[in-house]
Amino acid sequence: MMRVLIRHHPLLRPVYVKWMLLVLATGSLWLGIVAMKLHRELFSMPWVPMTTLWLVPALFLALGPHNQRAREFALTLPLPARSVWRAHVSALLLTTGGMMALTLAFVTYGVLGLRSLIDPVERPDVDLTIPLLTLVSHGLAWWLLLAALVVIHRPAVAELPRDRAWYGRHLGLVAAAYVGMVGLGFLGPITALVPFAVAIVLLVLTGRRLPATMSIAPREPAAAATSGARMPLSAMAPWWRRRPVWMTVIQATSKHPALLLVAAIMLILLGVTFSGWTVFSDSGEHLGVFMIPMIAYCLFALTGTPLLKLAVFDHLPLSRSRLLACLIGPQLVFLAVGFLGGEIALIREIPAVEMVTWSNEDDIYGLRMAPRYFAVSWGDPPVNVGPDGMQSTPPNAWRPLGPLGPVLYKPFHVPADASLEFAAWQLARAVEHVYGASLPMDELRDRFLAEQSDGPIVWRNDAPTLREAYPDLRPQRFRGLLPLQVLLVGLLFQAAILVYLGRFRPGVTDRSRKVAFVALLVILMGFYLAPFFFSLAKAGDPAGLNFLILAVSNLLVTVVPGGPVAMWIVAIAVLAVGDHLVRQRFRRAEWPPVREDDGFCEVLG
Amino acid sequence: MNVLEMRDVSRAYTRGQDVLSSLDLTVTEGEVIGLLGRNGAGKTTLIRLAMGLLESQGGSIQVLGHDPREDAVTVKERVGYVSEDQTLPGFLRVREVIDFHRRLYPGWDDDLARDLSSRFHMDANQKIKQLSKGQARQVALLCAVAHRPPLLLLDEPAGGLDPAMRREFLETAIQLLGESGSTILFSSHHMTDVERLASRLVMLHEGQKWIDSSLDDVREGYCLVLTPATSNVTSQRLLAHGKCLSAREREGTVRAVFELHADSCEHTLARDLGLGDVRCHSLPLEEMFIELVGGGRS
Repeated sequence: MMRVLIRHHPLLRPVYVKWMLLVLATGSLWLGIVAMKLHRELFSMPWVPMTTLWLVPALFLALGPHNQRAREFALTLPLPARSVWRAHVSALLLTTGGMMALTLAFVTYGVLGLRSLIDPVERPDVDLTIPLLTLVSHGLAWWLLLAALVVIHRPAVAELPRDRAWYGRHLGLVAAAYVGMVGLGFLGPITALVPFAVAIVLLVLTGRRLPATMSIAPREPAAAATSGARMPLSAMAPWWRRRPVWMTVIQATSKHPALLLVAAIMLILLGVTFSGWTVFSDSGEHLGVFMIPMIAYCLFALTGTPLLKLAVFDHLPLSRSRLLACLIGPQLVFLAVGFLGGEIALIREIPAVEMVTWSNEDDIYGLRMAPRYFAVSWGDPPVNVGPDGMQSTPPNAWRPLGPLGPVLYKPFHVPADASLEFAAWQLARAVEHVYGASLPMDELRDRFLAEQSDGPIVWRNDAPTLREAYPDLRPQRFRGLLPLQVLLVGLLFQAAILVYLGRFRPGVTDRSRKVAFVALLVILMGFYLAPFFFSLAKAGDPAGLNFLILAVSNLLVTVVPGGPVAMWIVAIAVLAVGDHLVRQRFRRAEWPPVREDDGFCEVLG
Repeated sequence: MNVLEMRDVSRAYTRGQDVLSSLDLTVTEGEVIGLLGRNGAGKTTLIRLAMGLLESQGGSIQVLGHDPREDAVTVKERVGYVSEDQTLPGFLRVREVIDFHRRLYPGWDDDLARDLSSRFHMDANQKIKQLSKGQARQVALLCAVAHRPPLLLLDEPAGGLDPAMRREFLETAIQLLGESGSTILFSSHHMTDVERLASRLVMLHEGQKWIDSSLDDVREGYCLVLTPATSNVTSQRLLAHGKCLSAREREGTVRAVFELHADSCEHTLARDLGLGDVRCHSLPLEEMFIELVGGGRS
């Protein structure tokens, strides 16, 4: 009987697959953060994986529709309230426990992948060991306690109203349990017994005190929304009190408006990846172009989901262009805010970063520069001939796309047998390439480099770094990168939305629309994850791909007549054509009648 | 002036299965038209085509002199629309919904909105999701009529409402705008609503217009014939008559619907079929509807 009750419980409807998808999204996000930071302190602290493990179940317990504890069907059966309540507790634990298990599996697998990505020679300090015992013991104990606190509230009521108080209570419980978990988590796994014991006691006591039967609704009526006075309709509200049309459109087409806040934060963060901050900062260096498919994914998900509910506005005199602008405009604004934030951060952070350095150590000898300044060649790397006639063939030619792909190379390589003249010449070229400043070769040679009697050229022991010696040096911007990024994101987004809009025509079923939507999301997510999986399969080099695109953008600036201006013109022209096609298809689209379950696609976004 | 003009309009959702097929419909200023038909007959599709929510796959549509797809905003600014499955954003308060609509319609009449809100006893501060179905429909109606549209399209607007609310709702909408000369096209499954409010009746069946005439003509032009069933008088024999729409035998009596005036029916049947013992009655609209679209016409 208990099994039947659990199977019929409203929490276990197939629609909750969407929460599982949210689990994957969260896991990916946290993996992204871990990959970005690769920071020992961050990862070895237990609260990071704990939060990852906990986030979605906690969100579900705070905001999810678990207020319905039993269907009327179960209440009409000759069963004691205790059985019905136990079925609810079991269903809740199954649902949220499933989320935790999936997250744990995903993150564990992901971390294994990350570990294979990190070069142990370059980053010996990175330790990606998961504190599994602490993580699992506290994660499970506090999850159980949180679930217990949720289910013991008015346990005899089969369906609680999801009002402001309900949300407030659950958000408060989640926050308190999270603080408890993180706080006790530092004290070791044994302390997890405390929340575990409290949860068990609460559940047992509540189960014993239940009345004979549950009731469908609370006995006391809900408080009136207003004091009862009928408010007269005033004339047009002043402009500052009016809700903008775009906000109404976005909120009305979203099943979970709270998710919009999450989406906004995500877009702002993604906007940061477009900024110079990502290109120049140490931690963001690996992000860069990886985020192109992710931004396209977000834009598509956030634009595509509301289409299923646009019928709400279809009879109103709102032009299709305006509706489209309402859907896309705010997203672009959020991206722009993130971008500007990154640019402002860049102003503060760049002076601290040394872009050209020198190593006297044997294994990494010579001029060092961030790979972002590497050059690209479609054949063998060109040979540099110095003023003294010395030739340098760049070693470590890097082919990120395989043996037939283009080559990435360091154009300012200094071999161990180089002369002082050659080393100074390469240093001067590197400084000009990176900082755009022409420093006299002789000055660089005399100030920073020294000749050894029986060894290679070295950096003087008493010499400062380049940035210390020349505080005014500012690294040159990658002026060709932004138009390239914008173009790639725009093309991916426009292609996806064009295909999806094609499904809003007669003869296309809701099911096929949803299949198309999910398929497009999977494809975009596939683009995002592909470098990661290629790397796991040792079939490609994601970091190299990133630097390759940087190098190509640099090359384009020099090759394309008109430089970055011409690149912007081309990008805008191509995107304008795409925009025209999207508008045309959007104008002709027929929106299906609104259905209640259309929130399915939303959580995918 | 033609407010709505449909010429040879066709529309299918699945290839080869027309929901509307070569439909012609002209609606002139000030008419109140009741649109009847079984589920799937094409009523909603017709109204959505007129509203520009769907694109026709053949023919042409003009609403107030404009193509509802090409000049969508112009048309929608001058048309009021309420449908059974219409949803208002649940998170908005009543006053916010009204404010939202007020900004979209140039002809918004604040006095009328206030008048309607007090007539419906609306609490402007309540959220839409807190309202009952009928109350939410009243808000939708207020938004649809407060800009005094020259054309009001109502697609089963009172579906699911109790009889008292349904009557109040429809009469408010139709009388309010009817008095000011607006044109109203409404679909309904309630024959009493159509009989009470419409001046013209359009009946659709399987995507085609079956009846299109004034309500008086419909009432007078059809009758129910009752005659004892004998070996000589069978339903098949009556159906063979060109004016017979349906016929069936029940408890020794043949019941048939003829497209004839009740006064001339007996004479016509005696002349054409030689029937003597015949009683002819004028036909209630609901019965005629059932006989026509759900009955035994071959």
